[in-house]
Amino acid sequence: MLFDSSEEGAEGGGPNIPCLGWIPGTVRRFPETVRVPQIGWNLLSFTHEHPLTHGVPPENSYTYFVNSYFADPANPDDVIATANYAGDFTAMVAHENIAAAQFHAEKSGELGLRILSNFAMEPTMTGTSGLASSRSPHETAHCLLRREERVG
Amino acid sequence: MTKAQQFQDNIDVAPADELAARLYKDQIDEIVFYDIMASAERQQIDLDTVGAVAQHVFVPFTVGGGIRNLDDMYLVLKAGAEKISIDSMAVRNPHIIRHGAEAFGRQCVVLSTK
Repeated sequence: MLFDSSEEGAEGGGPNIPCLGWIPGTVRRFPETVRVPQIGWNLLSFTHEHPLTHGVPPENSYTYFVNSYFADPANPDDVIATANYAGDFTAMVAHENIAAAQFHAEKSGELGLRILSNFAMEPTMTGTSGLASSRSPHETAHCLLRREERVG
Repeated sequence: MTKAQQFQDNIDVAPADELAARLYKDQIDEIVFYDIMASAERQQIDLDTVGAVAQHVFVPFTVGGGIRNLDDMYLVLKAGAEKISIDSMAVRNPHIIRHGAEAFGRQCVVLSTK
């Protein structure tokens, strides 16, 4: 939804569905050669430094994916991390002050909670001093998840 | 949480949410929860326990047992499960798999056999 357009909803050779256009690029479906949706843990490869991944180990970082589509950013510098499923695909992306993850951070164990916590607390992410910094990453993630539930 | 031999003589081991929290801390990568009473005694699945487990677990969480229709699936997902596991009901009504997948997405309906 954050990208210019998406193949989701455009099946049958129709034109891509226009989206918000906040990150340049398109969203594509995985090829027929692999099982779709991808469901499971997959290994991240980090391509650019970013506040979202502070404290995340550079090696052996697995996150949990459930996806049939993947983002194909127009600008390779917007890619923070990739994973491999029918080739490398974008797992994390950031463009200006917008960042997104393809995997389910809320289902990716402590690593996922760390990323959620970074999203809320990293001063360079929020442009302020972040949320109350006395909270642990775990508590902050809980707050975010509760907020998400309320928003629905 | 119970321990059994050949699905008989279940012994209570620990409250499900406490054990789930411990397994999560030990870096388990997925949790599957079956309400073994719900299916056997045709009761409503224990949604309070599902919710209590979901509070502690930030990895994929599948719930099964006693799921008979789309309303049951909805309640289990709402309680915090990520996937629904269909077992005996899939034998009685195989269409429940497709109906569930159409209603909630094919990523969250699992067929289990045991």
